Amino acid sequence: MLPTFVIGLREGLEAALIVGIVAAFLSQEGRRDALRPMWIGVLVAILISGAVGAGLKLADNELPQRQQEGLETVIAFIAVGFVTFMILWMRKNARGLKGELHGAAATALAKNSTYALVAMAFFAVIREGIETAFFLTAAFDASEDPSTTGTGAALGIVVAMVLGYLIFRGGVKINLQKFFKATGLVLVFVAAGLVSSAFHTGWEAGWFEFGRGQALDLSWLVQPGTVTGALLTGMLGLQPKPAVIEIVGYLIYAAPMLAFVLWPTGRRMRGYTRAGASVAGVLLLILGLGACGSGDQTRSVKTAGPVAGANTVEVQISDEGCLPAKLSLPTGPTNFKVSAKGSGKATEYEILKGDRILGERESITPGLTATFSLDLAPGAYKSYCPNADREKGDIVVTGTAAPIAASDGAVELKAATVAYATYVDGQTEVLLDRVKAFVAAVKSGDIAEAKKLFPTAREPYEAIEPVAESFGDLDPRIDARVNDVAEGDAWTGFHRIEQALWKAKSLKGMSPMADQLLKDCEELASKAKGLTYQPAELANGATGLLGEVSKSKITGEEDRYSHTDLYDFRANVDGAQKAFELLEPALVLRDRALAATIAERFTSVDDALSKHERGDGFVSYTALTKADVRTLSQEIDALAEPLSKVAAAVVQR
Amino acid sequence: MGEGSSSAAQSGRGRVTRRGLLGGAVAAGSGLALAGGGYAVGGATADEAKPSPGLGTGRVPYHGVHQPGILTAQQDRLHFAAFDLISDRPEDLRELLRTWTVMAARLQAGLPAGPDAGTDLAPPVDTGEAVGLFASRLTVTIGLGPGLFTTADGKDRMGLNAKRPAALAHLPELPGDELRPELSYGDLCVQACADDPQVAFHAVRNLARAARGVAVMRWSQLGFGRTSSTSQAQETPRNLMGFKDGTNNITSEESKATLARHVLHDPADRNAAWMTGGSYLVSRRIRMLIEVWDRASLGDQEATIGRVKLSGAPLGGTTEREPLPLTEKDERGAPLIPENAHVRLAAPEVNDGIRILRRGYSFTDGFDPQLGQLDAGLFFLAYMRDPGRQFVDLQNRLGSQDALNEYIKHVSSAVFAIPPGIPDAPGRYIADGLFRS
Repeated sequence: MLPTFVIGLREGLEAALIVGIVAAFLSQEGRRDALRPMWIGVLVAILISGAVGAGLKLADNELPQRQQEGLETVIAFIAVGFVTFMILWMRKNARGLKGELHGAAATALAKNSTYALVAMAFFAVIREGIETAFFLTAAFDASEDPSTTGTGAALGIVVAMVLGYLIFRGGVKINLQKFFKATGLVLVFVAAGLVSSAFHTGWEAGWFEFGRGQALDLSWLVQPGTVTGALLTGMLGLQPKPAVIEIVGYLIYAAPMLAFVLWPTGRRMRGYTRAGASVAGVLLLILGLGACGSGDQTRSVKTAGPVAGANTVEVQISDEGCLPAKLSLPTGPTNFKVSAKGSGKATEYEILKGDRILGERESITPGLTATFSLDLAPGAYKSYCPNADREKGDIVVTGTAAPIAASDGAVELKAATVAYATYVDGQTEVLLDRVKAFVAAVKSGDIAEAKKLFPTAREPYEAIEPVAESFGDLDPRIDARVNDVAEGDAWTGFHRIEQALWKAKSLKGMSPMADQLLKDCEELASKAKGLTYQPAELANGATGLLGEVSKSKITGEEDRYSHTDLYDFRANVDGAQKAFELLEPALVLRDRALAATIAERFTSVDDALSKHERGDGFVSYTALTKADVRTLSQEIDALAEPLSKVAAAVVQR
Repeated sequence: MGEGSSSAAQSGRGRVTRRGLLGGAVAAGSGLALAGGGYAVGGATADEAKPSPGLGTGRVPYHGVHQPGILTAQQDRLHFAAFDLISDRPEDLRELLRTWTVMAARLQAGLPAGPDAGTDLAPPVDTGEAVGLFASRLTVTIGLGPGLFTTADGKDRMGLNAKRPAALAHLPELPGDELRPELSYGDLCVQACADDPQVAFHAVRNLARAARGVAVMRWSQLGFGRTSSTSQAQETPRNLMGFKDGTNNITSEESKATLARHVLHDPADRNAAWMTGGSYLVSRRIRMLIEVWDRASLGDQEATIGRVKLSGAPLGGTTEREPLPLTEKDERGAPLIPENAHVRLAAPEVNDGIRILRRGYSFTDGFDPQLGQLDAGLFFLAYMRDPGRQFVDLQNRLGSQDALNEYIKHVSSAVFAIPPGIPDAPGRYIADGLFRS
């Protein structure tokens, strides 16, 4: 129970501290009316945190550690900004207040400043709240004894709130100027601690990779896993074993700010105000440079949850250090199942390659387990359990460089679906660009230009047609042919305009059609945004695209007026090929022969099709001989047959 | 042929156009009895002995000295397909033959084309239309065309030329040929015969599917009724001209020596020892000009064929299976069987003893939209030892002299080597000898 209590206390204290100070300040200034929005802000922050936790639980998912760290870093910097503002503001007002002139202070406390204070309380709570939500979700999911674990954490938070309340009470009673000075000092340390921890989480998010060496050992003072340790970390931002970057960040912020706060009042404040304000900017710049410097892509792919079919290894965090201290592992995807024992002073397990964190889990107190996955390449690694007696252990990964045998491709599949979503977004962007140009030509009555733009405007659409088809009547509205339209329904879309261009040879009445087409394409683009895909959907979509080719392109029925069917043919095949190429790394792991066959047959289709290229485009469908059509048709059949086996191959197991 | 027999035959004609032959024969009365007695009896016994199509529980064993579908008692339905090999890699061909062999053996046993994939994410391994149907005496016979060995411009396509059988060669241009190349030739063939047409179709469909990317279908032919018998237990069927066809066919009951001499690969061809036990298949799609034929008088029809239409007996004879009276003449000194009659020109007696094993089917591909006529005829299939000497000799004579040529057109032609059967042993597949060094 103690370990979770300490974590609850630590996370809760930072928030409680700031809320307490803000509340005390507002009370002192006779702005009790502003307390209401502050509490609403605090409540909203708590609710959001709770929702994040519940959302994660409902989605049966954990936010990947790396994203979590990134989020925390950003929020920390926002919080630093607000705390800094508060310090500067208090300093300015304390100078003018000279004692207990409540009325003047109240006047000085302009409306905007009130909101800034409210916002500060909000951000302080949400930052700690989300972190606590992550921790509690993991705790309830993985703990052998959720009630004890939860009680510990809840007690910690309650104690933090009590402390915050005491600060509030004390703050209300003492002299305002003293209060300002005292809280100003404390806040400088809190903010410096935030800067320091922002660098810590930023580094863990993989945004930069320098300054990771340990600078100091303060573990004699800030004993991890103890209440005093939690108080020191929570209130002063002190870490037991801060890294160089953390110390540097701490000092860069704290030194000028302390000087500013302690500087005798009434002298050259403006310069210092500016200096103080620019501190955050400098820090952000450093962080940004660091992020730019970490351009190299790690081979290891990291996911939050366990990966099916991967090698699983159980490791443990103990007071003595990471267990086992020496680990020998095979190459390939590996699930690290982390548990903890001991006093709870060490609660974090990381895998390092040099100074870079490849994977980690945090806040694993005794009784909890958590899992993370890495695709390990051969080489030497370190296990790292911060705050343990012996923090680092050795991991040696051996085996063939290509982790093919051990991997079942789950990691690759995940990457494929993510990349496919990007591809779809890219295609809808191109579609909108081209349709806009086409629509403009139609609306200006420029038949020649519209005819020229027609075949290529359709290409991005044809490449992702299965996606469009998933949205009910969007596909019919955009792409119906005349015989697809039911009696009484309006015929709209590309082919309606195609008929006007090639058959009626008049664009009369086509302006609304063109507008509708663009609108429908925009709807497609916005609906496709944020869609996620399953590997089987990619595979079946690819087969479906080839089905489209067989059904209407190869027969010349798609573009019956313009005879530009081969453009659509090309686009369908391209879309199928894209999906296949994304799935290929995973497929190679599961059915190498199938992957090779399909790749070869895509080439074969490409060759057959390229015979009919003219300039940037294709010959008219009417220029094809019967033998040409038959060859193309059979090439598609030859490709589609093995392609239809991909879905089962990538999903099975 | 006198008036009486002609009108007697005519009176029965309306009724014998279907398969209810016995009733027709009885109703035709005594005038028919002499001419059609053998036929009527034959019809009765065969009808009782034969299982109904679609209820064919019979299974033809796949493994053996010869491939099934040659000597097997001829089934009622056919689906034949010719393929072009689109890969030039011998390993692709080998893999295809291996796949086809496994599939053929499964299908003949009444099993699906492959084991169930166990997932609803993949297309079904078997296409499914034969589920619930019996094996229906299905046979799947696989053949290799000349194009597998030598390309059109004479190149050794896959390094297999040294093993090319001497008997496997494109047929020369023959008299009366009006071949359509898109319906002719082929590097591979699959002959699927069964008593249920859906079972035969199912076999070709699944084999074609398994071939995708390696071989593409070049042409295909359905046959809805057999026009020959390969067993003496079978009734001689009628072709679409209404005549009994292939009465003198080679049947499976004949001596090994006869089969060896006329049907099976010649072991003297040392280059192609892998073909020992195999045979050669000639396919001809013979379009009948049905509308023209139907306008011909019965006398003309019988003179054209050389047989009595209803009984199947040779002209001047009384029973179907009696020998052709090739030398006999009528009272005016004209041969009983005209010089240009089909049976005379096709008879072994006038062809240096040439015999072939016929396994043809009636077909219709529906309608000829160009002419507005029925598109129907005989899909001629025949197994033999050496097409260049047997079929070519026969067709040279028939194509130039046969009175039947007025009513038919040869529109498609192909020749295939039919490798021997394989024993039921692991790793064996059709034509595996071709790939052994």
